[in-house]
Order: sequence, then structure tokens, then C-alpha cells
Amino acid sequence: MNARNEREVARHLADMPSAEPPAELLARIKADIPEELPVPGTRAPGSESNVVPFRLPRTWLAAAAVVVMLGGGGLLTWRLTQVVDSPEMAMEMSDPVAQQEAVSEAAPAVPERRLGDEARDETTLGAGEAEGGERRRLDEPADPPRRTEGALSERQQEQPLGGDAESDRVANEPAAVFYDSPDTLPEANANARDLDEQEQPPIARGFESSLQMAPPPPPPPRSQRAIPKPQTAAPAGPTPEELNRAVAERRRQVAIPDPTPDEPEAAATDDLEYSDGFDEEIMVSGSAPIIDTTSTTGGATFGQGDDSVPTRWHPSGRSARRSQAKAKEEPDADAARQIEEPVEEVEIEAGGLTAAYGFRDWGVSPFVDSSEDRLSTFGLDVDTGAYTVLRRYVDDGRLPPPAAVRVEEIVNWFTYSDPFAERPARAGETFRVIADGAPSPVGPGAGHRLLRFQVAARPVAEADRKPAVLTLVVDNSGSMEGENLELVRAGLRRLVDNLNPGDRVALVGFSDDAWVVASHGDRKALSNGIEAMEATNGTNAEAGLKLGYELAEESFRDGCSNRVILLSDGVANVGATGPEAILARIGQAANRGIELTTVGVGMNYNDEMLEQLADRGDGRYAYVDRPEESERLFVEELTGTLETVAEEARVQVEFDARSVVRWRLLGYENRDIADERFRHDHSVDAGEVGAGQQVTALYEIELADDAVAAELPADRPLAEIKLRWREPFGGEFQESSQRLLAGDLASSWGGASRDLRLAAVAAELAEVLRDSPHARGMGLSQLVGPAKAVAAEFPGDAKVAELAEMVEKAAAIAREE
Amino acid sequence: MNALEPIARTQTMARPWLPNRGRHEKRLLAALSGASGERRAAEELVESTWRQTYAALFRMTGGDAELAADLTQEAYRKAWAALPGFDGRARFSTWLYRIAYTTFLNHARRPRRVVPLESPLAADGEDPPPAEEAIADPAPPVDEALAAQGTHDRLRRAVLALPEELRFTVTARFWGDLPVPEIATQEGVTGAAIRKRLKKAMALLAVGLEEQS
Repeated sequence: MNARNEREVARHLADMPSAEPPAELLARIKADIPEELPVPGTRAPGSESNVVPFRLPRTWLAAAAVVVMLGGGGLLTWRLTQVVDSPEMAMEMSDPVAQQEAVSEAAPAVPERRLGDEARDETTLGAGEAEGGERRRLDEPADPPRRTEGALSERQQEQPLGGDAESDRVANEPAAVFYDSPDTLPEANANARDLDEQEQPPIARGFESSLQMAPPPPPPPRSQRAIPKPQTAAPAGPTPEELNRAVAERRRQVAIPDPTPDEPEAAATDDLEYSDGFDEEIMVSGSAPIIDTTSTTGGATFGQGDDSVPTRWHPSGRSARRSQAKAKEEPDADAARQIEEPVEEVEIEAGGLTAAYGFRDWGVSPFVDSSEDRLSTFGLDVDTGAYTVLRRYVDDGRLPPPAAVRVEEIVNWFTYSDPFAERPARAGETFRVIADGAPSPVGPGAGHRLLRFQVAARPVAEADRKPAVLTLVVDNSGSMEGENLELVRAGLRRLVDNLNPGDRVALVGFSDDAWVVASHGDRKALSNGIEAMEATNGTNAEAGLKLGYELAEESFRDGCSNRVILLSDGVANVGATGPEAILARIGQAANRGIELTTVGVGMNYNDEMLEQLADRGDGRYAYVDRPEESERLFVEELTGTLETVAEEARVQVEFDARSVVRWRLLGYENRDIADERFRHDHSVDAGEVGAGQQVTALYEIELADDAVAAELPADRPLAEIKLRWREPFGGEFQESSQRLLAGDLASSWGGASRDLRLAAVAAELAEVLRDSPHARGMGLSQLVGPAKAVAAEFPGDAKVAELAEMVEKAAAIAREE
Repeated sequence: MNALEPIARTQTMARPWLPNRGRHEKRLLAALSGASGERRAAEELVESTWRQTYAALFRMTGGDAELAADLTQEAYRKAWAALPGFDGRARFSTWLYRIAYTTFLNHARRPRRVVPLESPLAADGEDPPPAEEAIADPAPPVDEALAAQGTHDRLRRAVLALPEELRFTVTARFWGDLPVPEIATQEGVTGAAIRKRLKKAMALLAVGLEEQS
């Protein structure tokens, strides 16, 4: 495919002129705002009027009905277009002409609805009842979308108009159901929102006990990448004639069939290089498949392994049969995961308030055909909150909601072997990669392998760490009272104990306003201040951060790690007028080199805001729910927390399409980066990696048949991992890569390294718990054995021992359910 | 074999009507559910989104300022009415774009005949088209001089002639200025799926441009 023309199309699209709106339009729109605004989010289809807007004056009903009538016509056609939103996966590209001609006829396929129709079907709008019409059962597929180049109108007609637009979509393309809000009580939620301002329910009965309080939600995924707006650069593009000529040439290439693995050349040209108006040279890595044979194997380490470990974790036993039976309903493991049961809703009882915590679900990555897409790109910063949340749920005797379980965070919780242990980092060397693999213990076929890429950042000895200029901003609001503040206090004491002489630390406290407890360099005031902290009143995080950043900027020192650390139990909102001001400040400071780390504490931890703050501040966020965690954060991992060794780090793995037919990345759904953006250095929000930190990514791959049948030569490359990052303090971007060769794969599961086995157990646990279709009927009980076996290989590692216990507990919970 | 679209599950929202991103919007939408300040909150929402909405509609209509203004107004009207259906999964501005988009399409799909002043299409409950014939349509304009943009207009028509899924993605991305993750949220798929759609659309458009010439 000629990517140049597609890039030009994109450029033209972005260049389409716009104009300032007429000035009085704003007034007109505002005048249209109805007197009684309906309450957002109160319509929950399928739920009978459990959801009731909590203010429901009768006049509102009447007014709503009128508004509904007027808006119903448009709204209905809007929903009808949603009906049409069926997946076009089957849409062939070969006959766009017919499509266009048919569509541009624009015959009104949408029948105009009469007022009466709207009244019949739309009276439920805003009244909180189920949508008009019986909600289709989700496992009854709608009429399958035709594989058609047919006109838009045809497609509309074949979809039943009366059905629930969203369930049609679900049945055809199992995407999220748009309106499937839970049954929540708006008033309770409204109260929960203002938790800080209201009287806090006491966190009763100590820290570890299993209260009715459910575990806090995990840190939500990182915020979206900063995709730049298309720029309206003066197009130096081709004239229409040139464009047409070029298009005519390309037209023959458009309708290529799916390239087979035998044609990697054709697959290579699939890489699209359209840009968003950036003129920088986009180099999609490698237009030729990996064919040369130079071996650059990293330290693939194969442990001795226990050959008595079964090579496959065959599901067996009652719960497995049950889950296998469930899996049998989806004969193809890759088949759509039907949403049959409602997502578990987590309710916490807190002194009469009820709040539902929820989790953002980024979906499950499917297998990808390497002939279509050989590249896997994602950002290299990972937080580990999901593991802590999982642990909390299991300790409480429940299983977490699937959306809370993020595979990569659970895999990355553990400490794998350190490739820098034997050989220290050379000068200028930042990353080392361990790449290995083994036959997949859960793969459906003989050709499935589990690959592991472990990226390790060079460690920095405590004594060698750059001096730190730290500004601690501590939440002293009423909600921190008790355990939360004690956790912070204990953590800060440990931090102060572990500082280097050259470090300077300031302490800022905030509740209703902010004050300086200790300025930089005043260790005495710091120690005293830590002991003297008390919880009062409200949460004015904006004031705290503002003051903290003032101090940090005053004390800024080049060549030091300048960092602001916010410790809080979660702030619902920052600043009376919205968070933009403080976010902008944080962003600017980050550009200057002052990074923000946010630390969440406590069981009512609300981390959405903290995560966003850290993201803008180019730092990480961590969650501390036990003294051990604060020990880890402020002692063991302090250097890693304080000292960044790589910024804007991202990974791209390229698979050899000849040998690898399909591949699947386990997790990282919310760190996905468009392949062509791998080298967009300044527009991709990738990760910051601290000293000594490790990031592990697992891939499940399917080898080509001939690769399975005949032994691959040991030096045949299967995949190449590329890293790209920037030296801290505004250094240059660097790139390095390493190959995974066929010889790096163990021939049996028992021969795999113990790190790979540990990662696999953790990943499989996560896959089972998040109901991934790739879990393929595996049950929790089947993981108990492998987990114990792995724990036996890591004697003295408390985390792994805890994992084995957790798997057992989870299996027990699952049995009871 | 096509790669499957990843599966995004239904999610339980912490506060279902509050968007995940856009803290400013979150607060405003919270105010909408509150007992006070809703009108002000609604106005602020309008202020923060109206230019973007107008710009998108301006491009969709191929530069028809009056029509774009009318459609913008209509989009907001529909948005207020449809607020109960806004679950906050995506940003308000994303959801609003969807409404603006379909508002435009509805308008474009109306039968393209000149509507005499005496008999507006009142029977179907829709607003009668403006007296001045200004029905936007993706077909070639009668007066070629109006289509002086050349490439832009052909491109616009080609975009509007795309299959629905691609069309929404392309217009949302390039004219609605929505970031890919937001589109992904709105569509219930992953960002990678959106990018794949965009790739496909670019290819189709390049071909379609030729056909329309």
C-alpha cells in the first residue's frame, strides 16, 4: 500500500477549513437550555425503575415529556444510527465505489417517525425506566450484519428498528453496552462524592479486619495519550490530478487479500504511515521481515526447572468442568465473550453511606494475525496497584471485579532476577532485556508458546543516587484521621531515616488551606513536623500542591532529582474551579524537571485524581495499604522512586511473520501506543522508569505449522524487542533492540526459567479472574498446584509465597460461589 | 482471518454519570445532578464545547455557516433531552459529538427536494427545513462554483459516503478533534481498533477520491 497517499488524505482531512461560529449562536444555545434539566445517567435499560432520579418534581415529568417529544424524533433517529453501528469487520474494501454511489443516493431509509410513535417508544426517556421495547437477551444475536457492499439504507432496514440498539451492537460486536449503568442510588453517590466535606464515617475495627468495606478501587489506567490535534499546516500536497493519478496506480493494490505467512513482503507493506500532519519522518520499523541471523541473544536464563512439573495445566475437577462447560459455549476460544452476567458491583457500607466503586475496563486484547500486524507497541511505565487491590479483595473473602484485574500490573508486582546482578551496567547502558519462552501451559495447541520480555533498568546504588530535592505534600484533612495518617507518618519516618546527607526535604501540609511545616534543609523541623501532623477539616489539595510547587521551584537544583510527593487518601476534586490550573502548573513543572509522585493511602482510597496528577507530573503513583507497602516504597524502592533513569520509554515488539502466525500481548491494553507512533518522540505519553525497576511483558504466540513440525534452527529470530527512551533531564532519545531466537525457547514447560513460570502463574491468575476468553476454561483450583510449585522455587520470597496463598484463598472463594 | 475486535466489558462506574476524564466536565456534570447551579453548569458545559461542536458541523456541512449553526443548536437541544442516557463513560464532549454527528446525518438524509414555504415537513415531527434551501447533502452540489474547494469538497463527500463505522471514526478524529482513546471509549473498542479503522478508511478514501473525480 502506498502510505504516502493515505498520509495525504489524512492531511487533507485535517486541513479542512473551519470557521469561527457566529457570535450570537452561543446565546441561542444557552437560551435553549431547558428549565428542568434531566439527570444524567439515570436511564438503565433492563432495570425496572430501580433507578429513580432523586429529585423528581411532577412538573419535571411533564416538562421532560415535552422535551422528550421534541427531542424524541431526533433522538430516535440517533439511536437508529446506533443500530447501524454494526461492525464492519466483514466489509470488503474491494468495492467502495458501489458503496459510495449507493450511499450518496441518500435515500431516506430511516422512516420518519410520527409523534405518536415517539410517545409510545420514548416515554421512558428520563424517567429512569427501561428503554422502550424489551431488551434483547445478550446471547441472542441480532441479524448478523451482512457481508455487503450494500447501501447504508439496506443495513438499516435489516436491523430491527424496535430492538435495543445497544444490545444489537452487543450481539453483533460484543462491545460494551452503552447504557448498562448499574443500579446505583444517585443520592448516595452524590454523598459519596462529597465524602471529604462530610463527616467521615469512622474506619472501624482496625486496619486488617475484613470489614464490609470493600477494597478500594485499583489505580485506574493511565490517562489517554496526548494525541495532538491535526495541524492545519499549509498543505504542500499534491494537486487533485496528481492525487488521482497516484490513486489510480494504488487502486490495484487496495484490494489485496489477507497475505499468507508465506508472503512477508506483502505483509510488510501493510504498515501504514499516515501522520496527523506531523512532518517528521515516520519510520515504521522494518519493512522487511526479520531474516538475518546475527544472534544478539540477551541473557536468556533457563533455570533447572522441575521436570515433575506438569507440562500442561489440564483443567480438571469440578469447578474446572463447570468453567469448561461455560467455555464450551464459546467453541472458539477467541470467540466473543458474551456478557451474560452483570458486572459485579462493589458496594461499600460506610456509616450509612453507600458508594459503588467501579473500574475502568480496557478490554482484553485478542490474538493478532502477524500477517496483518506484526508490531506491538506500548508505553513502558507500569504501576502495580491492581495486585494490591486483588489482595485486598481476596483477604476480604471476595473476588475482584474483572475490570479491576490488570494482567500486567499483577505480573509486574513480583521481583524477577536482576540482569545487572552479575554484571554491572556499562557506562551509558540503561536497559537490559531478558527474553525467553516455553511451550504455553494453557495453550490450546502444540504450536503455542509463551514469551517473556523482561526489561530491567540499571540500578543505582543508594550512595550513588543523585541528591534529591524533595517536597512532601501531605493531606491533613479529616478523612486522613486514624490509620491513614499513621501510615503516612510511619512511611515518612522511614523515608527520613533513609535519606542521604545531600538530600533536602521540605514538608507541606494542607487541609482547608496549606502551610509549610518544614522548608528545604530543615531536618529538625521535618522530624518534628512529621510527628506533629494532625487531621482536621477539609481537603484543599490545590492549595497544598501550589505551595509545594512554589517551594520546589524555589529550591530547584539542576543535576538533582527534584520531586514533589503527594500523600493523600484520594482527593475527589482539586481546586474550586476545576483542576486545570493545578494540572497546568504540574505539567509545566514537569517540563522543567520537577516530577510528581502520588501516594495513595488507606482503604477508602480514591485514586482517579491522584493517578491523573501523577500522569501529568511525569511521575508514578503508588498505593500503600499496609505498613509493609510503605516500607517498600520509602526504603527498598526509594532510589527507584526518586531516581529516574529513562523517560518517555516505550516498547515495540516486532514478530517474524514467517514463524509466528499469531500473537497476543497479555495486558497493557491501556498502555497501547499506535505502532506508527513508536518514534513520535514528543507526542506520545510514555513512561518514566526508575532506577532498578523492571517491566515484564508476556506474549502468547502461535508458531507456524512448519515451525512446529520441524525444529526451528536455534538462530531463527522469532521476535525483536525495541526500546526507545530519553535520558533524563532532557537528554537525547535512544533506541536499542534485542532479538528473541528460537533457541531461547525452552523445549518443555519444566525446562523454562522459574521467572517465566512465576510470571505465567501470575498472568494466568489474572486472566482467570478477569474472565479473559483466553483463560480457556481454566479454573482457580487448577492454578493452586502450579502456584505452589513456583513458590517452592522462590524460597524466602514473601511475595511469591503470598501469591500461592492468595491463589488458594481465591480458589476457595470461587468454590463457594 | 481478521483479528477480533477486543472485548470491552460493561463496566461499573463509580459515579455512573461522571466521566472518567475531563475533571472539569466531571464537576459540571455532578452539578447537573445536584440541587443547585445546574443551569450555570449547563452553560459552562456549553461554553466549553460549543466551538468545537460548531467547527465539526461546519466541516461536515462543507462550509455552510448557517446550517452549521442551526445544527449546533439542535445538537445541544437533543443533548439535554438525552442526558439520562449519558453514562459518563466517555467525556461529555465526546458524547456530544456523537449527537452532533447524527444530527447532521439526519439532516442530510432528509429527502432532497425543495420544500415550499407553504407545506413544511411538519407531519413527521421534525423541524421544517429552513426556508432558504440549505439542506446539506453529500451529493455533488448543483452549483459547482460553490464547490470551489475542490479536493476538500470531494474529500468531504467521500468521507460522508464511507460505511458508518468508519465514517464516524474519521469525522470524529479529524473534524471533531476527538482523541483516539475517547473515540475508543465511545465506540466500546480499544484504541488499536480505532486506529485500524482509520487505516482502513484512509485506504478507502484514497480510492473513493478517484472515483468521484
